[in-house]
Amino acid sequence: MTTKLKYTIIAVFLGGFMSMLTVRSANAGISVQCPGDIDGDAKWDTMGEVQPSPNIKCLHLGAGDGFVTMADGLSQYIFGFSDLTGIPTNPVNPADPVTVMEEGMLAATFPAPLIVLDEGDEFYLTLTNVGMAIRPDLFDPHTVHYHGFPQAAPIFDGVPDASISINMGSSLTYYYKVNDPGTYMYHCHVEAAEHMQMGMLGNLYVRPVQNGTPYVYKSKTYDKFVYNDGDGSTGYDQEYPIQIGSFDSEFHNASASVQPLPFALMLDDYPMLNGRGYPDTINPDPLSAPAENGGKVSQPESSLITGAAGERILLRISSLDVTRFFTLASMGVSMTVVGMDAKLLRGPDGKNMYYKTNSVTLGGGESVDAIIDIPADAAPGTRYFLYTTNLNYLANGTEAYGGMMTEIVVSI
Amino acid sequence: MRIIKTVIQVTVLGAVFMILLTVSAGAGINGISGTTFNLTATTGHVSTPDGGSYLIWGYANGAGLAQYPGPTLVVNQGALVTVKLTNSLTVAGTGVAPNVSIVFPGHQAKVLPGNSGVPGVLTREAIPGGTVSYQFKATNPGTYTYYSGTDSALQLEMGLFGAIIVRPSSGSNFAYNHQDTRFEQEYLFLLSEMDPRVHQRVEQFGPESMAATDYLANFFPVLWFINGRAAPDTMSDAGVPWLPNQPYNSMPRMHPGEKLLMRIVGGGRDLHPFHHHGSHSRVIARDGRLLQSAPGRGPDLSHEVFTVQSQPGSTIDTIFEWTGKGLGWDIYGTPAEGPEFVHTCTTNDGDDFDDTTFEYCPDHYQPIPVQLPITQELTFGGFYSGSPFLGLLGSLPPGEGGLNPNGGYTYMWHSHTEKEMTNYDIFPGGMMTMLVIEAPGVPIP
Amino acid sequence: MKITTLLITLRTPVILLLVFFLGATSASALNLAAVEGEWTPPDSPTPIPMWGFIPDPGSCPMGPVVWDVGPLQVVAPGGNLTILLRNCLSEPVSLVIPGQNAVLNPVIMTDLQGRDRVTAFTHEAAAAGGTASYTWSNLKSGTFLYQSGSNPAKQIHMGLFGALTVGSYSQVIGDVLVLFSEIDPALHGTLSAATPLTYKPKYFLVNGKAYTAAQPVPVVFGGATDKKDLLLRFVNAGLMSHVPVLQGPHMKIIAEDGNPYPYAREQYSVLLAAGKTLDARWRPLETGTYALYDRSLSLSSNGAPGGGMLVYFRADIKPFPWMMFVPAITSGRIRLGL
Repeated sequence: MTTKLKYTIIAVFLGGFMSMLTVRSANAGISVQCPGDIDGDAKWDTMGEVQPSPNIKCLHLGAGDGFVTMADGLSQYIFGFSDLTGIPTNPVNPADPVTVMEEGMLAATFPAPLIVLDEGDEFYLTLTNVGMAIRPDLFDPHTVHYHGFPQAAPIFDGVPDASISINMGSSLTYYYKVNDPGTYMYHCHVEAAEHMQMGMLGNLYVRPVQNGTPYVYKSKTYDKFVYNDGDGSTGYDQEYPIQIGSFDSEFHNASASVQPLPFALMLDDYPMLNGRGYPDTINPDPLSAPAENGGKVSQPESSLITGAAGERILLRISSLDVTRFFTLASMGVSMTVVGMDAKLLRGPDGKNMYYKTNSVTLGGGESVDAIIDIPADAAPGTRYFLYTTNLNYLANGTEAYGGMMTEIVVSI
Repeated sequence: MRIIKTVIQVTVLGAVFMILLTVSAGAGINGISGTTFNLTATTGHVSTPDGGSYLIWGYANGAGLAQYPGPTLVVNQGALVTVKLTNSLTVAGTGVAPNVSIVFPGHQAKVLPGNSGVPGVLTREAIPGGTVSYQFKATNPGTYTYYSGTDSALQLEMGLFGAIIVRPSSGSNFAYNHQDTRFEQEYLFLLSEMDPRVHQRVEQFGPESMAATDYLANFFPVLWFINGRAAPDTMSDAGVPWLPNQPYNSMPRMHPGEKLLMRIVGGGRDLHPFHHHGSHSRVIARDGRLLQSAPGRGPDLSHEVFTVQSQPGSTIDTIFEWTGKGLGWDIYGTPAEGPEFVHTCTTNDGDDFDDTTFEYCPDHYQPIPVQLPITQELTFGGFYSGSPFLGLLGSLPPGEGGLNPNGGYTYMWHSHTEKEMTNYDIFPGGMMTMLVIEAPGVPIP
Repeated sequence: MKITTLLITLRTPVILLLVFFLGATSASALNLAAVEGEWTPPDSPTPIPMWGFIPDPGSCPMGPVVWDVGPLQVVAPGGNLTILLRNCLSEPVSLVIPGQNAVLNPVIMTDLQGRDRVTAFTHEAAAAGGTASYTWSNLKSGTFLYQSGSNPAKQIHMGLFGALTVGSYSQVIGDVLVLFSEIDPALHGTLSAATPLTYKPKYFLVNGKAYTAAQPVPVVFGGATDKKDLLLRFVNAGLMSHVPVLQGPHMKIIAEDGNPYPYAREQYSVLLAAGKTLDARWRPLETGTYALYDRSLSLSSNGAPGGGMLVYFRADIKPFPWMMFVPAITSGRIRLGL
């Protein structure tokens, strides 16, 4: 399916009055703003390009559509983000500026590209609206909402009602100074019930500045931590983002076939972790590209959790489910909850409120940092499980032994 | 085309725009206060923004109209509170009107002798046309709820629930008796949902017909409310005449640096993840009890969240603050934007914040590091001021914006079960409202 | 309100428990059988087919038994627990206890696409009379759910669950189990006709019974000491969240899934997620009847109001501090190690 769209790049000539404004309008059309980047690919990889500081981070996302494959084989039409970083939008050598549009077409992934930042970063995210190849009748704008980033300003909060959203064929660069570590998430906030059900959801987390400073905790030395805990108690060996989500296949089908969208009847039948149902969750590789995407991989994120005996495994669990709460449980091992909603679980005077549990319950927009201690005597190959105790969601559509479940496998 | 063609100083023109407000807030928390309340269970109809009208059973204040939700009862700590309930419910056709009652979770309510109604499943009840009187001592401050203890699955769905606020002896700008629970603004967020099939069936065939359906078990809401209204009605004034049975609104407003107390009550039967854009809030209490390790400690077991998990029948008190700290740019702009952007940032108390405006001084006069797209490339929100800066209005294309006359910073506060941001198939709506952070000096009623 | 009263003073169980804890052996063993059962709903004489755990009768029963929650198992902390399971059902069954240590031996199926899928969290007792043995080591204190680990999306809502309590708490006059579960008859009569995703339970049970005014629940618990707390052990064997509300003084929630909280949580209601266990202390201030009900309003039986997840606690400060209007788990309270 290669519905080609002829995109018209809006060409607007800017007047000379720009000089009097510090906050002024960028060049129209596709434009990546990234300090030190010359060719507009959001990377410092070309001659003369210099990353001004290690804390300047850039990313170029496309917002468009595509397809994913459910674990029972059903193809689903999605809206989503794609990673366009590395494609010059301001080529030093003249090139077709439509390249970004072509690369972004039918390139949507689910979940959206993983964003990992460090505390202290200045993050420049450029969002380019590449349009919907399958729905040329739609002219939807898009946004990025950093869900949970504290002290947000509306202009970069991505809520279309409260500020601005980017139209098709153009780019908007979001700026955020990342001051607080933790597990966040991001999504498009335009027509939220529709765009989020359609898949514009992704993992985002921020590592603390304490990383790199060794702390001994329970007689093991760690240099990676969930938060700036000051005592190493959030130290971990491996980390895995796990995002709860689910699709209503009828809603997706209605969108693909230009039918009225069943908001009221929305009832999800494909529960997933990181955009896959079991057993695709435990496939360590990207799922093969759906034919409709023309070879573009759309489900890159595995949820297979591995760790050696005695290791501490951090699960950065978030939910961007649009229809309901889910309870996610561990079978065979307990979890220690050390953070919630991107905050260390301590009281204002430092009282430690970490707690052990076998399950956490999250609604959309909640996150939990949970550490699993793999038993020191666990034999390699041992399997534990992470699954929903809303057991009727252990299914892919009508197919049993699937749904919201993954495995924790003890490595050698 | 400039994004900011005209900059309007809020302090000059704000008052003019106040008069033009089509969407504005009522003050704080609306409710009735005292020690003796006369509530009447009676019928009414709620309107939803999609054009729907549904029968409700609601508690009314005395001879007033049924309210969805019932009147918010505001009492003082230590008060002996008496609630006299009169059952004026009527039902369609030949059906029998039900008994009705009130339970007060977290309060040890007794029934007054001489007006004790008849026994029920959870408490004593008023028969049709009858009354029953409850009494409880408001021993502990905090946020509570009340609702019908009679056929609760049906009667709560029909609308028989409300909120109770017990003011601490420390004063009305405290949530509890501790300095760390002080606030400048407070708002109630009573969350509920509705399955219209139940209301239509009760209206047509009476409550006894419910047994012939599976609606109470196979509950499937398609409407969602804050304080009894679905967005955008949440943001209309309290007491507007076109919503006679839904007198309460939900339009939080604050200034930078202020503490805004959110009193969140799960009024329905579902969990709701209430996401407040802007920043974290600090959860200080649950079910009317301060999160403290020992009495007098203050909320030393409080924790911060960006989404409040509201559970049915429970209450959460959480304090929201916003200053824009650490954004890396000046929310009031820089002189390069024009002379009207000249301002100072002065801190004498050494906390990095301006002593009056709470501007974060380390970011003073730092420009926004990126350029914004031009007008043609953007879609504008109704609550966008036209400017990225606080308290300033920029130019917008005709018909855009207009809902934010003071140039405040606006944030969506909503259920993050996004399905619940609809009104029976129509997006946006439902369990959603907007916080407005007004510039310093803008009056908040 | 007509109530069949059966008062049991707590004095005896307390002593038994003390004896038991002092004399706890390091290993306990129990035999269970997974069998077909029937549960008769309050609104219909037609029973609903169920599966359940019963104390192993030594051979498979000839026909369906009266269904109830699996037998309550009360064991000591620290030791091992071994359960021998006899499977009288038509498909394989296994046994897991989330929260307790066990080596899992998952059953793996290769699907048509060549992908491995786990169909049971651990090894199974074969259908139609097979047996299997399960051992949990170094038992952790608290309240736990035991349940089938095979095709959990189906077997747990069919009724294959029960509760395990390990140890107790100090300054507790006694403990009572409050186990929530649900039944969706559509998934029981004709299993192939409905899929688990359409799960919409119509009956809401506490300790295996749905409250109805016409079928009052018996008192099963009493006590005779004041100035101590009652321990409420909440267990949710259902597939949906419930929110028990205690109509009385606030509870203190002290543990979940057998893990003590660092600080107790003082609440009159608590989220009891699917598969979750919670321990709470509670003490009434005065004589009275206290209702405990589900605030997510699972308070109907097949659509009819006035039923479902509702029980009562009766507190008479003198002479009997505690009575509880909670349905018993009638298939027996099995104490191990005595």
